[in-house]
Amino acid sequence: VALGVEGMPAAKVARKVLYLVVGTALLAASLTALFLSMRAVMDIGGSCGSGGPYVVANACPDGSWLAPVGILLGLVACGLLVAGAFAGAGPQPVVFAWPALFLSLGWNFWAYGLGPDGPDVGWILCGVIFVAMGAFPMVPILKNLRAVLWGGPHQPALTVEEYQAAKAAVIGDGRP
Amino acid sequence: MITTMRVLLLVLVVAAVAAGIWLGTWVWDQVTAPDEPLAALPATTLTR
Repeated sequence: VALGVEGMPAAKVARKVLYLVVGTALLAASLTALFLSMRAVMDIGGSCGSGGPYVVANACPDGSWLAPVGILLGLVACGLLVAGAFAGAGPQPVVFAWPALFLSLGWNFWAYGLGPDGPDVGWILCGVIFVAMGAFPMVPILKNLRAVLWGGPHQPALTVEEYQAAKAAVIGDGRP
Repeated sequence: MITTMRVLLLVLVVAAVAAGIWLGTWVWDQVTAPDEPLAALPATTLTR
C-alpha cells in the first residue's frame, strides 16, 4: 500500500499532496506572524487596545492584528493538514502544530522574562507553562518520530488468493 | 517507489516550512514597514 493511496484516484492523491504542502506553509507562516506580533505587543508591556469610545493607554503597534489572524489561519492550516495526510504513511506535520505554537510563544515569554530589564516573574511563569504545554506532547512525538516523519512499514495488501488462504487457515472451509 | 514518494513528501514538507517562515516574515515586514515620508515623494506629487 503505497502511502495508503491504493485505489485512490490520481486527482485525489494530487489534491492531498497540495493540501499537505499548502497547509504546512500556511501553518509556518501563521506561527511566524503570531510569534512576531506577540513580540511587538510585549515590547510595549504585553497589552494594548485600539478603537472603541475610550482613550487607549497603550495603542496597539502596527501588525498586532496579525496575532488573531495568525491563530485563525493556523486553524485553517491544521484542517488542510488533516485533509492532506496519507493514512499511516508519509509525514504528518499536523502533530507539530501544538508544540510549535506553545514552544515558540514560550520562547518569547522566556526571552522577555529574562530580558535586559531584569527577570520578570510574570513572563517567566507564562514561559514555564507554555514550554510545559508544548514539550509534553513532544515526548510521544519523539518516541514515534520515524512514524511521524516517514510512516509505518510498507505492508502490501493481500491478494485474493492470500486472503482466501488466510481465511481458510483461521475458520477452515466454513463447514461445521 | 514508495521510498521515493515518502522522501519527496518529506522534502516538500520541509521546503514548505521554510517557505512559510519566509512568507510570515515578509508579511510582517510589509505590515510594519514605516510609511513613506512625504519628503521622499516626487516633487510633482507635492505640487498637485
